[in-house]
Amino acid sequence: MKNSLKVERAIMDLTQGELADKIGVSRQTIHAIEAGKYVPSTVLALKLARLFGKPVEAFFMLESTD
Amino acid sequence: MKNKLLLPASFRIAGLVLLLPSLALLIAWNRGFEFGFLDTRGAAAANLVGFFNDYNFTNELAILGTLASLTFIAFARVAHEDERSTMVRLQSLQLSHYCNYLILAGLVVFVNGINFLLCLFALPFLFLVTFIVIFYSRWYLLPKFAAHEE
Repeated sequence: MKNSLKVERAIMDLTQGELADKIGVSRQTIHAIEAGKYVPSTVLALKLARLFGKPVEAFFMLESTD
Repeated sequence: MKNKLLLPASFRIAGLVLLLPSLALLIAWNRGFEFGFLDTRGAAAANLVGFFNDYNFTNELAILGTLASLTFIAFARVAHEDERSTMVRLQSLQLSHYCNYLILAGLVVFVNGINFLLCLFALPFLFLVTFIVIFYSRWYLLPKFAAHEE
């Protein structure tokens, strides 16, 4: 699964640390998600969606291998 | 998702503080040291029970201290406990299980007799040590390589 979390974060002008604080995870977790090394849970994905004001599918996309 | 089965973060410090004296006591006991106040030889209460009437509990104290300190370090919360830390912890548990069963397989082939039993006794401690090394290296050291990325 790929994501455009980095782009969404840039649009909102947030650092990884600020985004992490807003949704209650560590900065390393945000980095791992952006790098595609960690797929977040539904709860975390929905928290991000609420923060960005967009549906989850807007920044998390399935790949052909998924 | 909160993991309620973890110990408070302060237990890690307590574990680290407890580990050194426990290991030191274990090494000292191995070289013949025993605490006098842990000796039940001649103690009236011990004679009543009968089972512990000729015994010294120094090694038990050292082993329990080591076990408790390793458990405290292994299962204390990290500073930013979140769902990824839970995942890293689970993966580290799995990896340390693999390591221990690999070591057990090696013991079965290469160690015999009483030495095998002695090694088996050390395995649960080794499991905690391998888990601590794997988990903390994955949680603290690996993200440092990405620390500059904002």
